[in-house]
Amino acid sequence: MNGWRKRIGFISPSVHETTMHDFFQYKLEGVGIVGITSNIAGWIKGDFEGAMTRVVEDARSLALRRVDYIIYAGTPLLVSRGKGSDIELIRKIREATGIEATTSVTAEMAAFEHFGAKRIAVASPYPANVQRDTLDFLRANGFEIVKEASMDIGFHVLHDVPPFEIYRFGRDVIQSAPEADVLYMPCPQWQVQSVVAAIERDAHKPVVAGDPAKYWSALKSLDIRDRIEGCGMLLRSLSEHYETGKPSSADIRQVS
Amino acid sequence: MDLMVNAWRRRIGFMCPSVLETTIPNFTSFAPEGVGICAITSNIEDWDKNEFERAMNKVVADAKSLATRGVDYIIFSGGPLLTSRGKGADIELRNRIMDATGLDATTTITSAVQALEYLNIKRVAMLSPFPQHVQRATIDFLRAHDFDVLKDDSMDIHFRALHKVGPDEIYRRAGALLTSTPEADGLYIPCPQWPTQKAVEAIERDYGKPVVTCDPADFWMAFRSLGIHDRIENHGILLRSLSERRDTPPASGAAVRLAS
Repeated sequence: MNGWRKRIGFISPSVHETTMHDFFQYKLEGVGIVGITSNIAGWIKGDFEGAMTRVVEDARSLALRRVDYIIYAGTPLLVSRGKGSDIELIRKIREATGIEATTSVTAEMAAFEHFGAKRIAVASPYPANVQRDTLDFLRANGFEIVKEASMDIGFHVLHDVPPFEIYRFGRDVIQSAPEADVLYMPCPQWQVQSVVAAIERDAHKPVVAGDPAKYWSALKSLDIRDRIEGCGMLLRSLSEHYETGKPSSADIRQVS
Repeated sequence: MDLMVNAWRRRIGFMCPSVLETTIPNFTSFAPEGVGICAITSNIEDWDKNEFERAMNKVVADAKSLATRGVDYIIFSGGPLLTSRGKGADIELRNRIMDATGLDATTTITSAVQALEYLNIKRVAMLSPFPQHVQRATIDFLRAHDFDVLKDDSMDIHFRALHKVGPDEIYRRAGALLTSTPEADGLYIPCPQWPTQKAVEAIERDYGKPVVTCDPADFWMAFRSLGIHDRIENHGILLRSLSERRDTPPASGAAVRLAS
């Protein structure tokens, strides 16, 4: 049976492309994914609101298919609504389904805390309005933005950005912000996961990116501690810290 | 580290009337290098005609949405939504998608008909997870295309429990059906939401008959249209034929024996 161990429900406000590809890189035996899409067409607030009205209904649909955890992946949709909107959505999903859930931005902030990071460098694909909302959201949640840059990628061509360009962009941002504790690269629709490990290795700093953070949250909640290599410190920590507890700065140095 | 974009060669747009579950791991298990998938769902909840119509109303808009993302081909995977509308419904939808997007396209029942013809399967045995009314509509659709459905078996699986059926169960039921229908040229197993793909190779090898099933047939159509002829092993004769028999349709029984 597909997902005989655990089944993760995944609500994407856009399409499913990179998210699914990323998940299957982990090769987790018996862990399946059930995807739903809302098909928004751009970085437009009107589209965001249209998708948001369907989220709880989509979560119920996933619950009927017996998923064990629900991920909601729309960071721009939540940050545009301000602090607390992610927690409010999680509460609604839990109430409607009885299933544990996270949102992308909730998972990413939990990952900052996992690394003990307060000072954040942000390298995103977002246009100016979404970038601004994201920074405001992080600041409202007590994080300090020490550096930020955006590639301003068109919504429909996020998948077309070659990983080496994402690598250079992220590496340059984090290397120009020596005071940063972590590099944050949001959005699951560009291929950032494939360069996370290389940036961490070359810049000697942890990277928190869209899909790894969401799946880390889900797998941790479901107590899936399989070894995941090549996708960055955060996912590797699931197996490494199983016995040893929280990561330390030694863990970060170990990556370099 | 792979520094190329995932779908640097071709991107296939996939419209799923239900949720995405079995199709993505199926595709991932045989995807040729540089070929990716970009998927949209309609989230229907049941084998119910009203649900089918709700999803059908969105198909062309969803196809346009996929086209804006630069896909090279579009698959619509809702067999029951089309067979319930009768012969020609698939071609009409395909034409609408092609007119709206300028892209080549298929529907899952179009792919199945094409694959059955390609493998010279005229006398068909059919195993499905469908309830009675969907089973009947599917058989009627095949008969309207001049296939002789000799025997059928429906496991009548609840819509939201399709993922729970084991490939071993599909293998056993398929074996029993083929054993009791020796005159069949091959087996048709519709529906992409249950794990038929995992059983195809073993059924073909052990019972000596070709199998046409959903995801392999849909992606076979797409790869053929896109000129993708990579070697795909262990997923049945149809996908393997992309590299082995580019221009020569096989004779059914002989072809399976050759390939097995």
